Amino acid sequence: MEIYLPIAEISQNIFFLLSIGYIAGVLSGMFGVGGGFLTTPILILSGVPPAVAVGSEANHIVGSSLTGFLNYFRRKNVDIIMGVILLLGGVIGSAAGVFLFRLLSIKGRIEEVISFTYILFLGFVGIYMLYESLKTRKKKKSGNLMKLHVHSWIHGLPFRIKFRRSKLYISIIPPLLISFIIGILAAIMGVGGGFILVPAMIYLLGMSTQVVIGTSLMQVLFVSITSTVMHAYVNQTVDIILSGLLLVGGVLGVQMGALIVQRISGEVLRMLLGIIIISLCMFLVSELVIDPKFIFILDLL
Amino acid sequence: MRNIISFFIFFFLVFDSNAKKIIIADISDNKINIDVGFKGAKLLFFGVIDEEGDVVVSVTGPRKAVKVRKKEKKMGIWLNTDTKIFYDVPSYYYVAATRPLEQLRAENVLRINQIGIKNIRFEGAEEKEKEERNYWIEGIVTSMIEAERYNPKQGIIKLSDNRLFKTELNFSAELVDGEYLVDTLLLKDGSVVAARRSFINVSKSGYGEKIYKMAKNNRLSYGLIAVFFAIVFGFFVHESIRRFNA
Repeated sequence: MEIYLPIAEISQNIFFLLSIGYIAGVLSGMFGVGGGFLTTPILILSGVPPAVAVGSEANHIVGSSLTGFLNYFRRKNVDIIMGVILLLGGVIGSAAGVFLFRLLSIKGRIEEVISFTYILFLGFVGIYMLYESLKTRKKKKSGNLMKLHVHSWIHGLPFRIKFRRSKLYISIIPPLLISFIIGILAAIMGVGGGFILVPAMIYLLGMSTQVVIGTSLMQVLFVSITSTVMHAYVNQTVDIILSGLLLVGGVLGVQMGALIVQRISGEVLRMLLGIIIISLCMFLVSELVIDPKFIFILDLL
Repeated sequence: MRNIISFFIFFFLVFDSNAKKIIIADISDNKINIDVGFKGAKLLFFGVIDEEGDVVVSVTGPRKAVKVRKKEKKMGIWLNTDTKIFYDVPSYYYVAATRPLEQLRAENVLRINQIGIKNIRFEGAEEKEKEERNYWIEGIVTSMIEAERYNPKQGIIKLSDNRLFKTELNFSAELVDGEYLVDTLLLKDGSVVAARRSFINVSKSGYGEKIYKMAKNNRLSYGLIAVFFAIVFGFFVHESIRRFNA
């Protein structure tokens, strides 16, 4: 069954859109990421103009991340204070990112530099997550459990506050700094940043995996609201029919994802996320190496 | 402006040749409405010629500017190496004739009138060398064909009694709105004997049109409404599943 998307100006199969929305939703509910990294390229490959894919995707994530957020919130797996601090750093960071982007693009091509950095970063994070989760799993089996988060001098910086939900008593400087850097990256690369935020919260801040997902979803929710309005206002690239269909699939997927999370342990979850991050990294590498179908990419203005 | 010029060239060609010959033609419908359920359209194009010859019909969609990025392999890696903007690129193209274009032996006429995919002319990137520029244009055409905007298969026009012609114009769902030109030429011995231009108006209608207009005219409220719907829906689904599980 085909449906015409008025802003994308193409027809698409309804069930196709519902299913990719669903898959993104499952990932979102399981890992606290937006899922845009998966749906955006698929939409573009299926013929949706890139700008419309990005804009509508942001709108879709608003709905699915809200459902996910509420789910975790109800189970008390959201650290609101931490979320607010991360959001603050993220907003300042993305403002700086937009500025930096303009500065760098005047200087010439930065696209490649960014994509290489991203690949390196994802590769490193993915392999580390896989390694760590496998090690924890082994230790768990032998009954020799170690604390995941090791207190370092970073946590002991001034302005320490209690993060009750995360069971942490650390300085607010590291979370602010991390979210600031991620905000810059997110603005430059046009991604939500959940993929970098989640491992950073787990390993650098030492939060437990369950709380991380809920808190990350809170961040994703606010970021996607801002970017939806921005895309609609600046570029007029939000297709509500498209995002509506993705959303219907998405919210169901999120519920499913949140259900799966309850049944598996933190290290298995981290292992799965590690695998997904590595696959994403390999996909990006393959895009650079494999001969493209088209040498010329068109964008109707 | 360019349209006006091409229009005059077109008429010049008509009058330049034997202008006394005429073509009468009409379309089963000169309007296509794109609604939410739009899947493409089929129109019947028919007419009468008053002299024996070959009939060529071309459909050209509104001309648009197109941003083209070129990828190149450098040190084993594919990178975007160049970006150019081309203008006057037809957003849609289709051609039908009584015989395959190559058999008409009217290369010049076809080229001047931009008939046949390889004869479409674009503006832009003039600073490039001819060979390189043609390479870009080839790339644009290939992508347009893949996107179902250009139809690489030439349509067939049936002639009855050497006077009455008819053909089916097939439109894919990939239509931008605007005025589509349907040019009919009557060719004889490699030159144009008669010509006629018809129009098809493609416009969005129904919900599609309302959404499109709102997105363009009330940008901020459109964005806020989009977010609002997403939030209400997300909340509603969460609540209903919670109730269902409880």
